[in-house]
Amino acid sequence: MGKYLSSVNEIIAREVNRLECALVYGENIDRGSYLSGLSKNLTAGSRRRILNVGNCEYTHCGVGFGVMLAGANAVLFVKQLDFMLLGMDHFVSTYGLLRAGQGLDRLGSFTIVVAVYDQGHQGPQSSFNDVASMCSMARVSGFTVTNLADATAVAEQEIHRPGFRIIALTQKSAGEDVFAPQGVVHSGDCAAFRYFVGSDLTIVCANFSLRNGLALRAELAARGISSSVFSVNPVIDPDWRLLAADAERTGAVLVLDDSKGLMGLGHRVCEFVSRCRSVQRVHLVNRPVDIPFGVDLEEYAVPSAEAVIAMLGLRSTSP
Amino acid sequence: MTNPGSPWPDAAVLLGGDTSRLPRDERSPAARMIQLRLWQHLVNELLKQKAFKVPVHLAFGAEAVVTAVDESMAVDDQLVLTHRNAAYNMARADSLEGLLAEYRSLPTGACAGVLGSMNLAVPTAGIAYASSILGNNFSVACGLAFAKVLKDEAGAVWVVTGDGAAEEGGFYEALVFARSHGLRVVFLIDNNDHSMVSSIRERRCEIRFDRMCEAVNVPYRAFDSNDVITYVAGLRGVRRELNEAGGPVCVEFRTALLNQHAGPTPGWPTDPLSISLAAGLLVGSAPRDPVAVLQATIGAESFGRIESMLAARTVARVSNEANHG
Repeated sequence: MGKYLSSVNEIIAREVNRLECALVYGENIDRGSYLSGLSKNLTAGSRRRILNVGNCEYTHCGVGFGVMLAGANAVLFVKQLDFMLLGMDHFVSTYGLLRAGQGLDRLGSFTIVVAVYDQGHQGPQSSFNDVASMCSMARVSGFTVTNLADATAVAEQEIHRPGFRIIALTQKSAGEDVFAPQGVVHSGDCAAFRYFVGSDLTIVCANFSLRNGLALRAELAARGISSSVFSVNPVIDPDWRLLAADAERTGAVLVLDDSKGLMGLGHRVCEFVSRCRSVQRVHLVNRPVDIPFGVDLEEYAVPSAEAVIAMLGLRSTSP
Repeated sequence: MTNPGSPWPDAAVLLGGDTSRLPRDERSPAARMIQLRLWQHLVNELLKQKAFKVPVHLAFGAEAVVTAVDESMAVDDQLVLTHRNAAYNMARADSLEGLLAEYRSLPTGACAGVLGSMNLAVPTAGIAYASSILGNNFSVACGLAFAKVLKDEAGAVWVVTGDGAAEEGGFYEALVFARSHGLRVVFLIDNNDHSMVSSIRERRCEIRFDRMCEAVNVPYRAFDSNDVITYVAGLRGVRRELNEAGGPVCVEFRTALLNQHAGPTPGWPTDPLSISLAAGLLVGSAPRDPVAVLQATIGAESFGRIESMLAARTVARVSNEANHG
């Protein structure tokens, strides 16, 4: 079994290498560690340029929108999500204007592929991890890929689609064995992926919390509680019907969101499932506002099985 | 129909009106610049009447630059603008009708009433993008230029900025990016010494754009005569250089901003600036007003002939509208 980062890189590179008339660019993308492996396996073509560029992230984002405006394609590889805060003006203002003036069908494709560093030891400054809030400000779609199934679906569909999106990977899983689920069902817009179907509880994982959701599912199963597991993405006008149907069936929803945002995707999911018929118990687990520097953020990401059983009033069959 | 001593109609009559374009055999750069001045006057009169909800940023004093850019752009060239784009849109579209409808947010507007004023970019006129965020448009222009490389297309991208927007870090970044990748971009600085109501001296240290360009090995040209004929010849030369030597290139124009930052001039009862079409086309003297410079260059008789022709067509059009009203 391959590792998470190298496996997802292969999937993304395969789709980028299929693009025609494309600018593929970023800082140090074709040398050194290849952004810790994020930008490996990219190949130039007759009308596809691989470009190592200087350090000017704001301009890189504007260049991508200019290429897109001209009907060509752009893929920008970025080492760290924090750097993309410098591009917010373009995400919000430039893309807003292009959508208003041109219409998506006349635009090329612009994708930012970026890693999220939030293990907790990089420093208070370098730890921005809230992909959904960034997308929300600009009303653009984002995808936090965590496994082979969602990476394949997102890359195959989104990298070739006109318009702009952000595809984010998590550095904290870089060297781990990649999760390769079978039988995954997802919505057409990649807003929701279902990995397991259970009868007692629906676990919804936002940002990069799927690994926590899967671990919790196993713990709950050992106590006789059967859980469905979903991951969700911050997509414009998301198709969450799969999620709604499951929540209505189990009647209990636990939402995990490991982002640091105060009003992020997890809140939005809670608001959505709360309006579903038969759903009476909804609980959000997210990170506290004040997280001390240097701690393992995993400690803050997920409650114990016992805590979940108590907070949602689930019936454990274990002794 | 006209005020005593002026060939121009009373401003109130112009509300909702438009003017006719110059006839085909009268389309010299000089004549077109005078027409551009007239159209800016008409929009200013409409702004005084509060005809639009959107803020329109006119550019009295920049007509020579705008006309020279319009005259120098090749067929495949693209123009990238700022919020102060009204004069460029008028010149490139060679029409006022679509712009007035756009400023009124009508579906018959040049961009279906969607873009308003500060983001107005008429694609059929070769205008690709206009941003109201200072410094935002440089990198988009670089992307458009890079797309030409990818698609093996001819043409260059002209990106317009002011001395205020060129203070943004994005200007320097884009210079470096365009130079690093040999992009055919014309960086055009309209240096009117003002960012809203602050002069350069009032807000910052001096920026020597020539030295800035030298530092990153970008050719730099400067023009300050406000003479449209010199400007047209100069920019056509710059465009030829770009074809022969590749890009980018940076051109700085010293201009005067003769109107208020946005909206009508005068903008308030005690406004020291005042512009009225009834007082004639000129709003200043040479060398600050390029129309005055042109009048001195081609002579009062030639200037008067073009002015009279425009006035007759404008009055005729207004009368025609009144008869059908």
